[in-house]
Amino acid sequence: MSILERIVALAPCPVFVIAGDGGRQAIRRLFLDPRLDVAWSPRHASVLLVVGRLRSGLVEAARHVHDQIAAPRGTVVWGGKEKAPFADPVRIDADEDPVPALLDLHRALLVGARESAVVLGATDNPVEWRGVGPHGQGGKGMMGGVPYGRPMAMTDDDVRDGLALDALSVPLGPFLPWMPPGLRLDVTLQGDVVQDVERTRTDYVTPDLREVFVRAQSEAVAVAALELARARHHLEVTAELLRLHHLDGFALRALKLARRARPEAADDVRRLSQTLSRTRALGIGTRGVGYLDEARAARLGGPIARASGAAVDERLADPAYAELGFEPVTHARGDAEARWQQRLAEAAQSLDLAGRAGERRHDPSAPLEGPRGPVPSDSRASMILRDLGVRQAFDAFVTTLVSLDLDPVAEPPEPSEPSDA
Amino acid sequence: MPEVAHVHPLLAGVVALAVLIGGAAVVAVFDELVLSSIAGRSPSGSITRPFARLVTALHRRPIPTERPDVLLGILAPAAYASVAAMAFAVVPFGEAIAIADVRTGIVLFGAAEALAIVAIFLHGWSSNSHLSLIGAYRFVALALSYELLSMFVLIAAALPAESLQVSAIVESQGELWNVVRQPLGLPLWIVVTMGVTFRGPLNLADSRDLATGTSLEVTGPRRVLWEVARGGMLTVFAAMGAAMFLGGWLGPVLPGWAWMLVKTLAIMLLVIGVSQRFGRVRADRVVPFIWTVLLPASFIGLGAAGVEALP
Repeated sequence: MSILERIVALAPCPVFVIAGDGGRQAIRRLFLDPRLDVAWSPRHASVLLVVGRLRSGLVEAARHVHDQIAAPRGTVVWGGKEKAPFADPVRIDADEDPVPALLDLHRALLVGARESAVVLGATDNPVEWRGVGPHGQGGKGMMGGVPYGRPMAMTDDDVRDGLALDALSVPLGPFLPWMPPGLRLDVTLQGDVVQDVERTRTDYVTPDLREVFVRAQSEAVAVAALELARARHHLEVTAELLRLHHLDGFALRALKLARRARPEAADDVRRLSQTLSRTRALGIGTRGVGYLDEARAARLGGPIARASGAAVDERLADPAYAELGFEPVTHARGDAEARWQQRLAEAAQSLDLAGRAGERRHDPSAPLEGPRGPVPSDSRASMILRDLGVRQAFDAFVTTLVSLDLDPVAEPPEPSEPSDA
Repeated sequence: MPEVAHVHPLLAGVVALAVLIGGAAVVAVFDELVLSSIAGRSPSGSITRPFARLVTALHRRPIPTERPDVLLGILAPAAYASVAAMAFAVVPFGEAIAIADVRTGIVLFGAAEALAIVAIFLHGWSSNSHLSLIGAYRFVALALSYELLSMFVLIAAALPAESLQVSAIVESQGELWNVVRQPLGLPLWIVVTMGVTFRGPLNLADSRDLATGTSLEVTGPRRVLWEVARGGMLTVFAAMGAAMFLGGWLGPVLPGWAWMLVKTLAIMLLVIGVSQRFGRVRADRVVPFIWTVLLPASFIGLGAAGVEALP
């Protein structure tokens, strides 16, 4: 074994992950593995991991991401059955562990045992840069908006303090790591301030709902199983927020608790919540961000509503939960901090409920409360992004978006939404 | 005025480079250890993983963005590393051990710190990429705040010594270290260090809401150089903190350089520990906080140091 091979064997595999159908939950579990570096930019990765099936609306964007992976590059398709739009990917089944395949591919690429995947040409811009200055600046049609696909700043009225600055239109998604897969936004920024948010489209992927909640709509499912799944979901969503705020150690703690979700871990979840609250570790970036009053939050349901003080919960109308003496936990402040505190409190409560539920089963005819609210959902939480985003600093907007734990795919379609699925 | 031996420029360059690279390695290992400690996972691999990660990162080939400023893209990490080396030159690692213990040491250090802002901005600018540029602007918005803080903290530490020379400031702590004499100094210096190395709460330049901001488009050797320079800069600021507030090379039993090393490592660990325990703050909140709370605190520290220095 060469020195390089020995070194590569010790190195984590830098991977950029994109989610297709059912991929979002699988992605969250990958963060826990120290053998992987889950990258925030494709340029920091050597391997592209595609989780689940990519629907047609996402293929072009996925090819763009592929070409941004640094060479020597390769692709692993985890679980997709159809022909992948990449050059010579490694395929593994959905029930296989992807990590060995990722590590093998990374090793093979670096020691030259496998050729780097060719560029697909997806990022070649069909229109040449038309700037004329010595640094490519100026030029006809190269100012303002998104000329020829390139965001260009242009002076515009400011929405906050009247100081006219350059407005920059920034298209985001569908694979930006902190955004729900498939969601695309067009955000107009002035400096660091969000001037406008437009949800341009949502490309179809399967709703992000754990399998046990899907089954519970049609068959009797153990309350304990529902509550353990709910706790896992809340812990994983909290870990996403922690990662966004550079708190990887705490994110790993949350993910470990999610993986080992069991009733005895309720106190560990409370301890994590207390640590984060007491030290203000996450509070300094989330307090006062993305405020929703009780009335507006109540319309969205789920933990978002309860974090604003609205004690709405479908479990209150479920006889199985009435026997357990279930009372919803609420927080009053209604901001992003209240939302992560709410989720951790609910995770601990769910673990307690799972421990006391015994053989009780949820009756499929009874209302069902999923991790985001009623199932099936009638909420259009992503529609409030504009209201919550405008006039906010960009990082506060991002924190707001992550704290809402959106699943735009599960929302009822808007009349104007393109239905390319 | 302390006597200091002059160092041959070539040797000085080699020493500064070694310190930056060695310091960056220590930072990478400390990062892994602190992460493991907070996450409650085994620290195994904390030493080998960062080095293996670096070697594999060197193998990644750069991908050009459209219309990048190639020259500034290369110069930015090189400039950041260079100003770190320049700042290190004035830090004495023992009695009469320094590259350039000039009489205006803290002025030179402050100048290097100011130039770091230019390097970080250019790092974000050069890619011609919108999120990178936002990271660069965001950093500049923060930088003026912590720069002023740094200036007042350094001047307060210099007052008891009645000298701007770093070795003189160390010797002035013979009876009482500045960390006790000026209790606000070291905590404020930790804030400055996190600002100039954009770590933890003050990582606004390469923050994850911008998909790593100024580093978003950078890969391969340039990214490695950037991260090494960033680790090296933390090492230099930790060393300066040790000299300014923890009595530098002063201490019993151990040789001076060993004390300096121990104190520098302690500050590095402290900064990394704080960085990983506090989430990123918002630029529009942290800047007013620095101007309205931390800067007045530094004025109080400066005033108290001035009163104490009166004959």
